[in-house]
Amino acid sequence: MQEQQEQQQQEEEFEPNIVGLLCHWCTYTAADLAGTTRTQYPTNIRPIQTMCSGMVDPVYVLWALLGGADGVMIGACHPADCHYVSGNYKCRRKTAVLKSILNTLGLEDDRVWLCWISAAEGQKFADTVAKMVDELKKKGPNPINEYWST
Amino acid sequence: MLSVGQTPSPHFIELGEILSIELNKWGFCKTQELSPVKTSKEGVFVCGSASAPKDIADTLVEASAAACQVSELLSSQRGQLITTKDYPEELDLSETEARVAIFLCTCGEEIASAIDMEEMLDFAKGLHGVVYVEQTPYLCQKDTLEQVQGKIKEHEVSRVIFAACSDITYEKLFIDAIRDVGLNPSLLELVDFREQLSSISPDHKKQAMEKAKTLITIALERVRTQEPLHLISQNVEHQALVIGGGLAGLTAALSLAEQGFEVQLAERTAELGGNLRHIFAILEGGDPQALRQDLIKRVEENPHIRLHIETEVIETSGYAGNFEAVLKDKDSTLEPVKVGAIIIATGGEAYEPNEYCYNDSEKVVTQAELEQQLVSGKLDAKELGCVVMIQCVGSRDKERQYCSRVCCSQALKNSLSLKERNPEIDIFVLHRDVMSYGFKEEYYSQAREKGVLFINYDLDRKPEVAIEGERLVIQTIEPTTGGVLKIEPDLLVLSTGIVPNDNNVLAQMMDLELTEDGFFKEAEVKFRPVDFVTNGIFLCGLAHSPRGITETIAQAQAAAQRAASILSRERLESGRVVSEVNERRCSGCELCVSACPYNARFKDTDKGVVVVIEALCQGCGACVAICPSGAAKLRGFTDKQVFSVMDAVI
Repeated sequence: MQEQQEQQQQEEEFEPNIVGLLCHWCTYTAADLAGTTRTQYPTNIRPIQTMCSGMVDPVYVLWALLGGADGVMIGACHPADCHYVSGNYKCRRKTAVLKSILNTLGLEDDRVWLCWISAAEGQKFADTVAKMVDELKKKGPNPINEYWST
Repeated sequence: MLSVGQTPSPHFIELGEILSIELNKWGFCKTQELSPVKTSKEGVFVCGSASAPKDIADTLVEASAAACQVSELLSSQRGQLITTKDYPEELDLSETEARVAIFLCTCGEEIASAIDMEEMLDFAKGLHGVVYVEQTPYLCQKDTLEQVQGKIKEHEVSRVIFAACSDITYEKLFIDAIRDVGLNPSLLELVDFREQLSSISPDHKKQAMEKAKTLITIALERVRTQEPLHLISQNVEHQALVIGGGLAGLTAALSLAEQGFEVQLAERTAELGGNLRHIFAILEGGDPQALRQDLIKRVEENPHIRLHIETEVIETSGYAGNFEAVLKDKDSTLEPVKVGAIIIATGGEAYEPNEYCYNDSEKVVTQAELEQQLVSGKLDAKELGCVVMIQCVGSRDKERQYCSRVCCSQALKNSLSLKERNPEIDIFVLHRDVMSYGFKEEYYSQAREKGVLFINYDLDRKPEVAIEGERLVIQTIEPTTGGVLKIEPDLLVLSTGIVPNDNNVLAQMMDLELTEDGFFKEAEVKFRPVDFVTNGIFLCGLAHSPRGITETIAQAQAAAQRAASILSRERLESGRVVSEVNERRCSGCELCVSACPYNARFKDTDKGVVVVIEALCQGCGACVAICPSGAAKLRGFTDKQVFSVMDAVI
């Protein structure tokens, strides 16, 4: 009984670790805006700035998942709004291909989120992080952590 | 949903009085004829919705045009107020191991209340490579920064982390501070404890602490692996090439020459003036032919402009500040020119109709022909009893879906002109919608008051024109009754639209994008209305889109001003974050060449590897993600850095 309770408590306390690969021109600035406007959202995201979502090599995402990240958020400019003309489309294509093979590799494709969040959408950034944390809490930790520890 | 219009600001009357500039009857700023940004007072200029209702793109165009006019007046004083700051020479850090200092700003109580500063200090001190950690009250204050600079020197620090607030807001200030102590800006890493932490979750101290630690580790990993990055700077050719000698090209060339820049103006045909040659009146007033003659005279007399008639541009290479173009004249003599900026003003053409019996009867003419015949006296309005005009000929149909913007004004202009010459004349304008935007609406009302009849027609039920002997017979559906209206006019005038030139050759040569309709496409429709994606090349006139005379003038001045922003600089500096090629790894597959949106990469066929033109690289990193060999590297965002940062996070 006590064990069960402890387990439950542990589950409740699971805080997903999200790697955020955020485009400097849109999503990273949106995160800044969320802060300046004091929009509340969970602290689980670890923002890593990129110049453009187009530079996000699928290997980065794989590296994060294999390393045990519970989720990866790629923040990109809205379609047609890329600061570098077409980087977000390149990212969309790469992410689609990557997602199609993740499950085969034993990784879960729904841990990878590609989000269009413009520099003006601080609220959307906060909402997206909150939603992602929520979903990942339901999913539980990245099982690869258990695999590495055995 | 209400689509509301724009009204002049009520305070504008007051401002008008203070500046003693005239307003028009609606309370917008009055502008001079054919000068979209000149107010009634010399030396006072206007742009945006102050002079008429306007959208974003037109507002930006006018803003640049106004800046251009001001620059022309102030050109002798250019650069006089610029002061440059001297920084000490950067320290040579190549041999030393990274010595990192971390400065934690408490932002008063803001950050200190969200995380335990003591714990943070201890954590930071224990990190590998960190030689100094300090807590400061307000990093953004001058005296605090001076103390910080002292500590950096004292502890021989080679890498700095500021954990403070919005890096976007304070980056400049902080970079300035570390440059003052001889450190390269790329050796500073900013951590945003306020916007990323204390502002978003003030009540979750434990999680905030965890995130704070990770943010510091991310910064540490980045800064430790960071090499000093240097700006790439190069000379600028203080000369522009303007392609096209129509209204847009002439205006742009003159605007640049008035600012003291050398201009090479290339016109394909034997005559300057372009489509302006065929315009004899303007709806709002003003004499286009006088304008044309004046422009040509000023261009020919200007010592800064070199005119190349019957000359085409057959080759271009290079990049902003340093283009090379080859001009070919009618004798096929080639002349290379070196220019810092290029303005494309190659114009458009009037649509050549083949519908509505245009080729079958002399009684069917275009609006431009009507205008010309009225001016030359070939046509006497007094001999005409009835005139029909058909709008949207060659525009807004399946083939060309765009509105040609000028034809409704042309129809209004010529209707009013005909009515003035002969008030008894019957005029029917068969239209799909009358696009009398802005103040042109007034002339639409005038035309209706004078008895011009406007009858709407449908795209699927266009008017039908037949020639019966000597007579022209036009049938159209009268929409209110649904019946067929039969008119036998003395003259049928077709409002033909504007079509693009064959822009493909130039577009391919300079690697510029065209729209689906074949016009040149700007970098961004709203915010970069006269720029191309390729830096240093600008766009104006009918080459961009159909537009009227005043709009063309504003756009040409805007393009000139954008070009001047490059030509006026001694040197052009590109960003520190640019990509490079690891030649040992590069297999020369050229995937990166096609991925680069800026043509900043090409293959060196001798070496078999790809080379980066640093001046063109904008640092997006598309090449990095596509390179299968790991040979493409983005300075400041190398794979190694990304991986080590990620390892620190997870």
